[in-house]
Amino acid sequence: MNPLHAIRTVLLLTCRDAAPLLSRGMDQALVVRERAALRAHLWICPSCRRYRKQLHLIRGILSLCPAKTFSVCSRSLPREARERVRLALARHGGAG
Amino acid sequence: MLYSYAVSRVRDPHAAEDLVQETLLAAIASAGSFAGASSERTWLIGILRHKLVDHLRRRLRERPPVESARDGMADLFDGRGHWRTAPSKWGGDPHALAEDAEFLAVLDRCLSRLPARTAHLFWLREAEGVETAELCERLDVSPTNVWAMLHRARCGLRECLRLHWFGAGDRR
Repeated sequence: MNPLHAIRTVLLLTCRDAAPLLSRGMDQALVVRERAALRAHLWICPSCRRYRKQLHLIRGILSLCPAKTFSVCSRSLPREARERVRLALARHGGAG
Repeated sequence: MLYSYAVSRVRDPHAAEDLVQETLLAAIASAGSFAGASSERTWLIGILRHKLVDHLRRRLRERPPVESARDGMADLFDGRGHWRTAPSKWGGDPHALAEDAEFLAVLDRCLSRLPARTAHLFWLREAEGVETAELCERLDVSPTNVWAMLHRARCGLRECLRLHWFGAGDRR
């Protein structure tokens, strides 16, 4: 890799660019150039270092919670929803 | 049973609820035509399948073809690409937070504010550790889209937790 190009990439990386890179780095291995740019950015940017810690904290918490903790993961019809369906059926029955 | 079937297909609890409702209404309307040749279960699932197809067609018509990776995140950064509100230190041990009912309620609310599909994807990745390749297969999206959705989920969830839980610490 051309060192000048590498330095340019590193210097031009903004927090806005670093955030998606950071995120993707949690899902797959970044290529060398991306990794270098991100590492250099994190070295000079305390905000993005904290952002990374926060994302890892969220991952840590979620991996400890059983799926049933959260309504987005619930596979059974929530109670209020059950009630709405029941009312709609009752209305329908009453009309017809 | 109908609901879990619907959710597994549309991954959107509200849409799934509507579908269950439509299915039951249709079933009542055509109860006379239930021949008894199949079990009620099979009959109901059959109706639900028709409703699902209608729903998917409607959704395909409504959904814009490409989602922008920066939706809703533009205002996290200023014109020069710096954080508008610099992230601050978040205190808290994951084990303690994972057992804190109040925190979990906030987390639940924040998760449910994400688009349903995004939340589902995010959950699979972060909680269940499903790899990108499998996510692409299971949700039928490209890797680029998976990463964009995960990034959006992380930004959105973090911002929501910052506002509703870790808030005070972020004001510097």
